[in-house]
This record gives sequence, structure tokens and C-alpha cells, in this order.
Amino acid sequence: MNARSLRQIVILGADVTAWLAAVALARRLKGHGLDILVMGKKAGNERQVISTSPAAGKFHRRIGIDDRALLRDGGGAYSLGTQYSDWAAPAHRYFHTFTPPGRMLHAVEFHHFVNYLRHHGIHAAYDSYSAAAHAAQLGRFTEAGSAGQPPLAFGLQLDVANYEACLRAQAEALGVRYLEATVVSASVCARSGHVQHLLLETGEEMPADFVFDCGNELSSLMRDHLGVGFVDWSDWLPCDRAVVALEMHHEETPAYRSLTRTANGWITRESLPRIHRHALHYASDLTDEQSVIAELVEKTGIAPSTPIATHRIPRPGCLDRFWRGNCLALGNAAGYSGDFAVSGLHLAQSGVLRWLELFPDRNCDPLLAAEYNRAFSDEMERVRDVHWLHVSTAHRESPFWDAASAATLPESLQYRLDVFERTGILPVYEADSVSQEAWISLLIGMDRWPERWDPLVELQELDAIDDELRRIAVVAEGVARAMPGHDDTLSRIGQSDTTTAQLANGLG
Amino acid sequence: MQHTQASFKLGIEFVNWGRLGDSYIHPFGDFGRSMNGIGFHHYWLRLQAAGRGVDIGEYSLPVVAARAGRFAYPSDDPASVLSSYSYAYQLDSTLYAAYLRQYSEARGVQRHEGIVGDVNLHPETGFIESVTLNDGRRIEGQLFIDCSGFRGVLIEQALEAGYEHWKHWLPCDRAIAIPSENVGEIKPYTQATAEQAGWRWRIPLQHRTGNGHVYSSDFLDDDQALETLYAGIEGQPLAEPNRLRFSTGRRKSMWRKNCVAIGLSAGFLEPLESTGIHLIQLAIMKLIELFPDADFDPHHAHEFNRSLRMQIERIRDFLVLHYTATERDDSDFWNHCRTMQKPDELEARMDLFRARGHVARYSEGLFLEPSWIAVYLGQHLLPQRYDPRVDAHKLDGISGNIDRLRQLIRDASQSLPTHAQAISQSGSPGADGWKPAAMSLYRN
Repeated sequence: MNARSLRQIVILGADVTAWLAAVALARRLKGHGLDILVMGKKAGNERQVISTSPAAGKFHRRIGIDDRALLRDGGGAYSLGTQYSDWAAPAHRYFHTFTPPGRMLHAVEFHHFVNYLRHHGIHAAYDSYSAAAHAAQLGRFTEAGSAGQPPLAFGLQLDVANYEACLRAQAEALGVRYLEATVVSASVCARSGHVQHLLLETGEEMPADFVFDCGNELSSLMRDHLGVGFVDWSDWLPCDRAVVALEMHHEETPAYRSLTRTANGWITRESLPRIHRHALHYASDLTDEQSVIAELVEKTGIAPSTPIATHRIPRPGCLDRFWRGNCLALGNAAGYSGDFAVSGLHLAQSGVLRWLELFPDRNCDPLLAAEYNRAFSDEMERVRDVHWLHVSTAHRESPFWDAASAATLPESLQYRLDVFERTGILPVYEADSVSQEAWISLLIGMDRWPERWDPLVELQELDAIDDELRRIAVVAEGVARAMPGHDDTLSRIGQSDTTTAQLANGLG
Repeated sequence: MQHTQASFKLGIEFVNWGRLGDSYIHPFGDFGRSMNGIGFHHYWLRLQAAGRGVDIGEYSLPVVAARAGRFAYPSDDPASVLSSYSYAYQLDSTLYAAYLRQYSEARGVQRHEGIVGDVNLHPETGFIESVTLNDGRRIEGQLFIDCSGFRGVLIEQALEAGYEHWKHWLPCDRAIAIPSENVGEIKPYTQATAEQAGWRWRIPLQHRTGNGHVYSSDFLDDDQALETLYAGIEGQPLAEPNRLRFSTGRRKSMWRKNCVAIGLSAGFLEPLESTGIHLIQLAIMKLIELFPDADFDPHHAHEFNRSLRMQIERIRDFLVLHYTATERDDSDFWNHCRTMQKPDELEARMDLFRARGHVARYSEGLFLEPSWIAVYLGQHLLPQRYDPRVDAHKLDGISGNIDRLRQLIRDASQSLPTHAQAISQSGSPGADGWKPAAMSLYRN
């Protein structure tokens, strides 16, 4: 360590993003004499459920968190993907799974064959070729491979309070301190533009060499005190509220998330053993709360007496700089583009890893921030494109969807859609978080079948393709049927050799 | 390898680039191993700053093996230091073309020898319908692939796709090539020696050595250029000089209407990093991926052009780095290169490396982190700082660690067969069959 090294890192916020950052920093910077302080105030006690992607599992392993212990101790569930209901059209259903359908055949991408059959009058649902979709449908899950096939990719559905508690225990075991406090302002050095002290509600001053802003809409250091600009996305994502209900259930816990389009917005459903959490996202200037509550009750079938809470949704958009001086925004403080295919958590994880790669000293060379901002803003925009795709392809039948789909698509998305529609090939961009196969699966799930297929498909006879695809669908279903039930798998995690003590001490 | 008199290649030695008297190898492999999630070169930079640095090439297996004249196919065992590299071939391009011709003709490709006289376009769409050869034969087609070289007989002369020139960044515009007899052992690497107004290549094959001089006609006349080339040739010349002229740049649309330009007709970058064949293969793979229908929806062409443009521009920037990261001030040519305005993206990359030893990431592109580090450090673009986390480790600890790695690499290299042995064994695949080629430049 030398005089230029960072010594005091302050993480503002007290939610999952803040604790994830804390664990990642504490673990990866162990032995560097850093003092890490998490500072914030826990907001609200509503039960929230978060749904993660397979990338989160990879991140967890890198920072020493055991997914199974999370599930067992936190009462979580697995997730194979998302079921879209009524999205592209009323009564249209589709499983978009982390493991995409089919496989490359004859050196040609799978979807071209399905599309070719379709144009010849042979219709099959694209997700019928996905073992993960069959498993989700049948309520089956195992982490291991099944019926001689490789394992399926999965994410988790986690109770947020338990997830936070687990991360916090882990962070504190690694020496992270927590201070319950609210920051009211910051003293910024006029010369360097660096935050020198954070001023607390109590009048105390908290020094910081580097600040992670994991705040929310109500308190964002970067926006409120450092004058960083904000790019507003509410023209295509007009939601600002959600009505939320918890429902007890006694069925097999769904190993998937569900996303249902409604007249006034959309309903997300995450599931834990015995509990569903439903949230209807809507725009308060277009619909009144009573109507959306009625819609939520009607669409989900919950008892009309179920208690319903109203939440604010973060304002859609992102900062025009994510790292400025000695301050970096993460999670919703950096930006929010809806909660569709890529969770905000994913971007927070990628942001932390990127920052660790560029690990600055106290001077925070602006070139490092510039590189971070360049790469992160590309990544953020590509996620925005995936989410915008959701909004722009949804069936229009109400003022909400008319408003959402009126905005002109960004060029990067329009180009991607055009090329796919006309050629069946999906262009890939440098900073994509969503793979080419996943884009294709989403587009097809939105009923955006391309006009063409790869002409190399036609080297095979139509009948032969039909036979081959039927066999693939049969195998996909067989893989799912050979799996144990989801709840069965969840209950067996408790019998594994991981203990809570090990979890708290951190697993390498 | 047999048909093209090929030899193996572990990298390229750059001589006299950063300073006169310099030599470094840009290898097909990593330098060292990252430790605690921090790139090896940061540890190396700390030792360097403490005056305890050793040539970073000593921590690269392909560099050490290349210098020792040894080669073997990389190991499949990821734990072995012998899996830490990839390899390429040095081959006779005339023989390579003949081999590919025989290969494709045996599989049904028909060859019509002739010279294109007229290109017949559809009066409304402007698509190529046929070409008329000078002897009057007319050859029709739906898709035309233009491999006619710089002239771009179809893509430019008929379809006027346009050309973007890059001479302001890469000033060389001529080359002379002369093959010579081999002298001594065949080296498993190519040499690129910087001269007064360009550079000389030396590519050792089984049966001869390829030599050439790439230079800028703005700074050197043809006779002087030939003299420089002769002065650098070791063995007896085997043929008269072959003179070439070129314009560095790219075709604005490599795919236009029903014509796809591949090879020199699509653009040209000097062979400093041997990227010609790579760009050709990339274009072929992209064409297969984006294979059109008879009605040629323009989206195929757009996507082809978008993707290949990014690739060629990134390679261009990497080449420009070789010229601009120099302290040479011994000629007008080098003064020009040292002080020229760089492409923006390159400028930003160099600034970031200079400030903190960080190589800006991209995922699409041929040359990734190890290559940039090789050239930066090989040409004295030393970062002002390294990753501060390296300071948490004791200097002796780092030093001991990386000394062991150096010894490991030295021993592993000594265990490899000589290049000559490797070439003589290459005719038979051995018990495991032919080694599949790796797509990575750096790892097996």
C-alpha cells in the first residue's frame, strides 16, 4: 500500500445492490487494507422477490456465495426462464428459457429449420423444442443433466430480505461495517471534483476515498449532489407504479417467472415455495389505482380480500455518466429500463466486476472513468434495446400500449429487427448481455418470425427436417419427464453438506 | 504442410521498431498468468519499476520456444504451460493457391480461364447478370465473388463501390519481394525489420525464404528500396524482384448488389501482422453465415459490411500502433509516423494503457489483450502506473513467483522438438489424429 492507495470505500444504500457490491469488493480486495462501509437506511418491509439469471450464479461463485445455501436458508426457488402470456397477442403463451430451444443442425442455426417448416404449413411451438420449457411446464427441475443430456441453465427466485441478510452476513464476516444513516449532502473538492466527505443527517461528516452510489430514486448522490445528467426513457416505458399482492399457494412451485401483458401494463409473478408475488406495473397518469387493482385481482385469480400494496417504480432512464470523479453509480442509481429479460442486478454485477478490473487509486485517473463509462453505457443501451423490444412488440389494445409503442425505436434496435425480419439472421453487438440465441428466442416468443430462412436449410428434404425436429421435441420432453419435481429437488438441498455456518464464513 | 512447403509459426519478431537495436516477439500466446484476478503484466511492471525486470518475452512459452527454434502442437492439458499458446503456418502462397485449386476442382468446382472484358449489368437493378470474357465467352451467375485483386474488376470497375484510403495512417504503398535460398535452421517465426521508410519481411519456408520490403514511395525511391532489400537477404536470391503497388484502405461496400468482394478487392492492409488470409477467411465465413437468396435482400449486405468493417478497422488500428509507438527520429518517415494524428479509438486505447496499463476490451476482433501488451511493451510504451493492488505483495514474493514461472517455461521449451523435427513429423498425424485448429490466437 502506498499513499495513493484507496483506504476508505463507502457504499451508499442498504439493499441487495449495496450488499452485493460490498461482498464483491470485500472478497476481491481482501488483504489490501481497505475499510468498506455500507451506509443507508432500509426502506420498507414489503416482501419482495427477485429473479436472477444464470450469470448471477457465476457471479456468486466468483465472490464466494453458494447458490444452494441461498436457496435452502432463504426459502428460494429455481428459475428456468420466463413464461410470457398474452404478450404478442391475447392467449399467446411462450416459455423463454435460459437454455435456448433446439441445437445447431447441419451447421445451420436451429430456428431456420423451424421457420422453414412453418412456411410450409408445419406449425410447432418454438418452445416445444426446449427441454427447459417442458420442465417448467411440468414442474420439474434438477441441476444435474437428465436423460443423458447436459444440464439446463438456471437462475434463482429469491426472497429479497433473506438474500440481503445472507449477503450482509457474508460481508460482515469479511470485515465490512454497516452504519444506518442518511446522507443529506456531500462536500466536493472544487479542484478535483472528488467527494471528500458525506454529510449525514446527524450532522456527522463521513470521509470517503471512493463512493459507490447504490441509492434509489429518493436518494441518488450522483444525480442530486454531483450534477450528473439523466437520460429519460419514460416515453417508451411509461410505468411509474406497481400494485403488489402476495398469494399463498399449495401447488408445485413454478421453476420460472411469468410475465403477463394486461390492458394497463404487465404483471410479473415470481414464485417461492408456497408463495407467489404478483406485481402489476402501470402508468399512474393513464390509469387509476382502483382499476389496476381490479385488473390484478381478475388476471391472477387472487382473493379480492388480498392486501394490496402500491410501489413506486424507478424512473426509467440512465445517468449520462456512471463514474465521475471518485463516485460510481450502481443498480437503479445508474439506470433502470424495466424488469424484463435482464435484471438490474445483472448490470450491477457487471459494473462491479468492470470497476475491479480498472481498480483506481485515490487520484481516480479520469481515463479509467472514461473507459468505464464507454463500456458500461454500451452495455446499458443494449439492455435498453432488449427491454424496448418487449414494449414495442406487445399487442396494442389500450392507451397504455399505444403510448408505449409510439416512441421511435433506437437505430441499433431497429437495425437488428429489420435484419432479423428480412433474413432470419440476428446481428450481434459488442456489448450484448443477451446472447444471439436468446435474442432469437425472445423475438420468436414475441411472434416476430422472420420472412426468410438460411437457404442452406433447403439442402435437406422437407420430410427429413420434419422428422428430425419431431424427434428433437420428443427428446426435449423426455429430458423434462426424467427430472424430479421442482419442490422435491428443493427439499433435497437441505440434505446437502453445506451448513449455515459455512455460508456465513463464506465458501471459496 | 507438405503441399505448401509450410513451416510452423509461433509469432513475429519485430526488429528496430520502437528504437534502433530493439527486438521483441509478438507471440501467439499470453505473457505469464494472471494472479489474484490481476493481469500478469502489472506484476511485471512493478518489478520493472524496481529495476528488477527481465524481458517480458521470457514469460511467454511461444517467445522462448521461438527463440530456441523449437515447436510442438500445444497441449490439451489446460494445467500445462504447454497449452498457453496457439500457432500458425508460414506457407508458399503460390503453392497454397495451387493446392486449394486442386482441392476445390476435385469437389466439383469448374474453372474457366480467361480475362474479363465486359461486365453486363441489369439495366434496372444494376445487378451483375454476366461477364463477357475477351474471347467472347459469356459467363452468367446469380452471385459473383470478386477476388480480382486491387482493381476490383466487378466491385469497383463495374459497381463503383468506392474506396476509403488510409495512407495518412499507414503511409507505405509499395513492396518488392524476392525469394532466397535458406541459410541455417528454419525459424518458427516471421521477422519484420523496420527500415528507414518501411520494413522488411523474412518468412522461412521449408524450401526457401520469402523476403520483401514494404516502403513508402513518398519517402524512398524504388532503387534505394531494392538496395535495402538486397542488403538484408542472407541466402542466394532465387528470382528477379517482384514489384507491387498498393493502396491501404477498405472498399466502402465489400458486398454490393449481387457481388461480394473478398481479398484484395475488399481492402488492403500491409502484411505486418499477417492478417490477409485471416480477413479472407472471415469474409468467407460471414458470407456463408449470411448466405443470400436469389433476390438479394440488402440486409444481408448491410450486416456483412457492418461486421467486416469493424474487423478491418480494428486490425488497422493495431498496425498503426506499430508505426506510431516509436521513439525513432532517424528519418523523415519515422518523424512523420511518430507525430501523426492517430485514429480516435487508437488514441484512447494508448492513453489508457499509458495511464494505467489497462488494455481496453473488445470481444469482436482478431487482436486481443496479449497482442496489445506485446507491442506496447515491445515498443516502450510503458504505463505510468500499474494496478495498485500489486503493491500489497512483497517484491521478493512476486519476484520468486515469476522466476519460477520463467524457469518452468524455459524447461518446457527445452522439452519440445526442434522446428525441423516438428516439420518432418507433420506429415503423419500420429495416434491422436490431426490436431484441430484453434480459433484463438492465444490458446490451444
